[in-house]
Amino acid sequence: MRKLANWHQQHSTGIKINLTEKELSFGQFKSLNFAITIDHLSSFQPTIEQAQAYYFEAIKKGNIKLSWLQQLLREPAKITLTLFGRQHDDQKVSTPMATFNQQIARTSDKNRVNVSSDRFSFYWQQNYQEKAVNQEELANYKVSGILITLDTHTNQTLRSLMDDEQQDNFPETIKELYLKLALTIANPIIEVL
Amino acid sequence: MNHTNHRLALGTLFTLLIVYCLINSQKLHATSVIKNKVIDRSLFSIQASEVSGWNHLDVDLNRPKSINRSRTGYQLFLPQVNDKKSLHCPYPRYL
Repeated sequence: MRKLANWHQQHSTGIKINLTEKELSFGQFKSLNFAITIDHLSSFQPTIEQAQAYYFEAIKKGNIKLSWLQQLLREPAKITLTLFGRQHDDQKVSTPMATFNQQIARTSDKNRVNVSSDRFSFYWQQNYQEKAVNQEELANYKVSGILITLDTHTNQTLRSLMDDEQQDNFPETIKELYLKLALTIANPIIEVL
Repeated sequence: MNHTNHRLALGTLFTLLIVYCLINSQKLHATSVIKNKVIDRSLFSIQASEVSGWNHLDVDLNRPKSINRSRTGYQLFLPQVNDKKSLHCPYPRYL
């Protein structure tokens, strides 16, 4: 599940795969393969109109702009695959990472997904800031695991679109709207060089 | 003489056959080992025990965690958290 309004713990739920025992390095990573099935009946992504109705009062007060909802919801949500290095939970420490955004297939059938390393974006992350690098620069760093999360197509929340003052004074009274994706992932396999 | 040559020739052929079979069986064995090594080293399967998740909703919504880890993998069972009354009902689901 993914929040639309606040960025605090914006990935309300997600899947984490622990790879510490694999001793896999970013340089060895070649591809990630898995089968995915989406249960659309149990999933929910609000339309712009639904979100507008949901935030009617906040829009009227000027806390949220309709254009923000349009910006966040005009494209379907996506699944983000994130390879992370050690200490990824500590934003004070620079951590090697790699991400790929998978479009959600418009079918309820099982789909085989094969994502090669050249489709991932590799970067260092610290204090929520990213510095892009290539895979070779991270070659000797170990991959601690993979996160599978749901995201808006821009990775932003409504709070991301507020000005600095609004962001600091984010009104806790604004209701949260959750994007929800019910999925099953089967037979995940990592191919290495 | 002819008989001796014939037996020698047969013996040589037999020896060559044995050597040929030995060489090829080694090749086959070597190929199997290489193939196995390739499979062992180029693919990592992910076990159910390595899959977990997180749930911030228990903090956000003051609801109890409802994580169930089944034998075949990881599953989350969550209640509908959005305020359905504020949405048009019946609202269209995603896709």
